[in-house]
Amino acid sequence: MTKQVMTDDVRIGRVWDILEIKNLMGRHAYYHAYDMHAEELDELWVQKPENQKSASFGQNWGYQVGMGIIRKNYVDLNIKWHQEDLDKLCDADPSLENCPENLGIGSMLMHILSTPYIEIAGDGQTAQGMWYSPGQVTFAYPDKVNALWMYEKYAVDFIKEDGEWKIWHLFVGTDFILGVGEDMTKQPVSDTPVPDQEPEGMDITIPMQAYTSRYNWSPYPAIPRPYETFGETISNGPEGHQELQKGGKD
Amino acid sequence: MINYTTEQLVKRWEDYNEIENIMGRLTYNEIVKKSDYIWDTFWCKNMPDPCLGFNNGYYKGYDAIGEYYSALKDLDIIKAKVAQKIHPEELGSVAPEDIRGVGGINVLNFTTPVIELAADGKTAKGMWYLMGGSGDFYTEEGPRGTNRWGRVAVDFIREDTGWKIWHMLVVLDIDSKMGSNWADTAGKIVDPTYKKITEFSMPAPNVPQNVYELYHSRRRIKAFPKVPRPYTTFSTTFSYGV
Amino acid sequence: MANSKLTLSERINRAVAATTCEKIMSLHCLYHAGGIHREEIEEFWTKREDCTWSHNFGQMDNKTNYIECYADEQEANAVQIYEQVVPIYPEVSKVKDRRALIEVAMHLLASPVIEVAEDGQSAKGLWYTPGCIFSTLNPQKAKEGMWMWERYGADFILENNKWVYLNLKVCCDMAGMMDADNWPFMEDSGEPQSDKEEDSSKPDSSDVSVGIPGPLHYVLSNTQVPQERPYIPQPYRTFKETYSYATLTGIYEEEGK
Repeated sequence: MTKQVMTDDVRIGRVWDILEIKNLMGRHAYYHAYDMHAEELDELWVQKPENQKSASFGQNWGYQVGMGIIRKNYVDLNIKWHQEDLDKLCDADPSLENCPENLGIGSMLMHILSTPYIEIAGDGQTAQGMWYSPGQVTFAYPDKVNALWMYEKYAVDFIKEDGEWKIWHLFVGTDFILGVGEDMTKQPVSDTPVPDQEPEGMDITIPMQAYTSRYNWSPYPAIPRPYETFGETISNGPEGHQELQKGGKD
Repeated sequence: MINYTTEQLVKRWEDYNEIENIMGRLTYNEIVKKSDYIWDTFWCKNMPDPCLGFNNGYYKGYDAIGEYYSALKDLDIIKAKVAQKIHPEELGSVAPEDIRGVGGINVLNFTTPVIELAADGKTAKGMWYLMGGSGDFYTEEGPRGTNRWGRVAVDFIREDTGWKIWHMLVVLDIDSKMGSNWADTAGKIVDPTYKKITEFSMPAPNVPQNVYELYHSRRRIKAFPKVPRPYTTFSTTFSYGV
Repeated sequence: MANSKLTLSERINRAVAATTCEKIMSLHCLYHAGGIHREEIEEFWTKREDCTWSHNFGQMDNKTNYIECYADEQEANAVQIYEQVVPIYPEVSKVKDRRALIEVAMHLLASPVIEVAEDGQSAKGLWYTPGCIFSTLNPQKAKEGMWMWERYGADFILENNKWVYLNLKVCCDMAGMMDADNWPFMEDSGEPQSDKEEDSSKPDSSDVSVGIPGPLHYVLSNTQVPQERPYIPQPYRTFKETYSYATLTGIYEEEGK
């Protein structure tokens, strides 16, 4: 493919691509906090069948691949968990109404996005971004409230569909989880690595230890570099993971 | 989707940069306790209905918002006097106004931006996650670090002197002592050394409302404030004011 | 800053410059977190010798000094850490880049103010960084973690058609053990918490080899007044007409230097 000439309108177009991608990820963060997962998948994620097939959501414990699985986990399982939590709360507190409006009651998620780094492909059709996310998650249980700091690295591939940027591959690597007020020095450190386990009930297409902060900074996902077309860069989907590229673990 | 010309896109970028810079300048001027400068410089002058909203209501109109920022300055000076009383040798020789903000820092970190400029270029809307934190030796409890996390949503208006804040809504989910679970509802332990600070109260919002609740274990998820959407002109979108 | 005297291309240059400088700042954070300091200097810093990097404890006031502190000493430190950790966790012998074993210093970025000069040859940026430092495998067999809240002021220049750092000023406001009770007021946070007079007698906690010792900024204390540094960027025409983030502050401002 011929490298695109960077005329003035292409250059300002690329600047706007970056701003639009920042907006897109900001919306992702707020929709997630607002429990608007279905809306998020419908509005912000890829819609074309060929892109939905290869869409992925990766975390420490592996990858969900394909919009069907992502929706099953991100929307359906999320509602199931909310209902299970609400059932327990209502059992312990009969004054609490078990109704749809109370799904998620006492829960609070804030995955802040900072430190944006975004590369637009030379051909303008895809982009890659990395953010650092200082976050907190809070859940209410019958006997306590779990308030947790959760610090993560986000690495995202974006693709343009009909002139609009969409999330294509999303990877979130959790660096640490710390209870609010907890002493990090008292968290146990295993003598040998212990694999991360996906949450109960989550359907994982490719279970693997995709990310760890055991050795501090993880070189995966790679920091995006300037690139011309998507085939030349390292995907933030499972195909870009060095262990999968090698065909399995050592 | 509107196709802007190259020149329009450049102008819109310049507007975006100015708006993002306003929020950054708010951060750094707040750190150095220039509440009067913030009110004079970054807020609109020509709109009929500026609004500053918090969890417990809105300050609506120039008088109410001006009083709010003036009260922040008053509190700083009370704290400076308390500091002078505790540290007369180091701080006693200057006027309290000259050491305004002593022993404290309040950082409003704006992150996770969603910024939409109206197609007509006259207004803009922005939303940020606020990752706030303060360390203050002079609170009613004595030295206290505080986490303040929430969302800030702003309507901006273009005036002759540049982009200005028109409506600003600051809603907190978390307002709690650093190192403490925000679900802990135990009250503050007031220290009589800081009595003058305890006795001070900010003016109440002139439009009191339960706008938003701090986190508690029976709080429902609320999709508020609304996330900005692309829009053509302000009358076609929602307002962050009241 | 909208400027009708500039051509459309010049205005686009400034837009590209601002976006690029924001990227460079994020890259600094990512590279620093990964411990790949030498590569950062090589890729994103000026080739000039007169660049500076400063923190509360002092300024590395030239390239040689900066490389010595930020790369040479860091790499020596990495070897030391590795030798302490590998007998306890032999698996670290497989870690490709041992610099990562020191710690993750994630000085994440918020609240940008970015101004590109009218002449398009330089830019200034100010960020707040409510950062963290953490480490998992340590000689004492326990994790480490601290919060560190700082301000970053950066001068960028266009050098051979590429945007690079000229100066980076870091001003630490507060630091403490990660989520300890009331952590900015911890006694042993690693940063001095006492009166300013005690601070001014010696540099802040660090044993790096600075060119110009500080203190250049003071952490929060019960007598510390607000500090307006790094200065907030304002629209400007050309670098000579604005202040540089290499300017000495703190104790040097007090001494009228």
